[in-house]
Amino acid sequence: MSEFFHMGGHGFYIWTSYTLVLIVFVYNYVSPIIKRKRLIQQIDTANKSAGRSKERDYINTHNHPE
Amino acid sequence: MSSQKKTTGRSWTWFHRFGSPEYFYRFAERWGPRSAVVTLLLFLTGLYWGLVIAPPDYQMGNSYRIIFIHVPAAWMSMFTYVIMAVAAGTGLIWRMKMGHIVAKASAPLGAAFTFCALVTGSLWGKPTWGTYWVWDARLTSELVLLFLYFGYIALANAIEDQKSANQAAGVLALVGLINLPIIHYSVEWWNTLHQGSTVSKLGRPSIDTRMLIPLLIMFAAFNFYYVTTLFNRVRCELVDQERRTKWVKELI
Repeated sequence: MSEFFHMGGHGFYIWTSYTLVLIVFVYNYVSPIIKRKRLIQQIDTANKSAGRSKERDYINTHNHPE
Repeated sequence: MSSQKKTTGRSWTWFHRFGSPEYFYRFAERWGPRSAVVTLLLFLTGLYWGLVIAPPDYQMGNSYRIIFIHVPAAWMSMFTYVIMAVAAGTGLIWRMKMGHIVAKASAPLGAAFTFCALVTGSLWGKPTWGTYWVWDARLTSELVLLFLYFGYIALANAIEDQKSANQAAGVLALVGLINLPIIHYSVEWWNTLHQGSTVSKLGRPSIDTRMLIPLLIMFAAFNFYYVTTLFNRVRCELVDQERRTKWVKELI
């Protein structure tokens, strides 16, 4: 097993390469998924608050409590 | 006459369907996760085969095993650029929004592949050539490719108005195509340190079959990885740009 990690003296170069590629690939896979979920949440709250302010406008223009 | 028209019309409908943001989103939503599963299986097989089963090289020893990520990454760095330029060109010529979105989603992936090719190449160069970096034609033109991707990303994101951003970035993508034949033929045009092609020599690849099979599996893995992550990025970009449309609101 240690022979496998040693790779005949080239372990450092091989494992650094593979680890870097793994990090880059996982980051590239995960980041747009997280970003999309965050965007959807943002748009959702923006739409809801827009909906509420419309309601408020309606009440303000239609109710005139002296 | 009319039937002929109909058939030519039908053969182009896929093109128009994928031009619709909503259709593309649904397609990516449906096929993205399946492509992710295939990607993972291919990577696991390719890595096990390449790192454990394949024998060491008679000249380079074990360091050659970097080939299983270096060559697919380098290939994908160029392949992604072609897709990006064609998509941007489609967007410019037919004013197809999806073209620009696919191009914009491809750019960071292409930059990632280029970065991986450069870093793994450098880590392979040290035990093989005795140096991490030389200003050799292949290495330099690949570095230029990385800067082309950075330039595209910067242009596409820096300009506030989406249409002008798409146009400026699209033109850059097309102009940058000149770099691709330079990268490809650099090892033939200039006598350099970087070795020639191992796989694409038709008929007789200069590589042992026990090494060629895991390399081909890794090629497939990288391609499926590209499709999977492209779909993720396109979905993200579509939600962002189409947030005012009815279909995105229904999505939420």
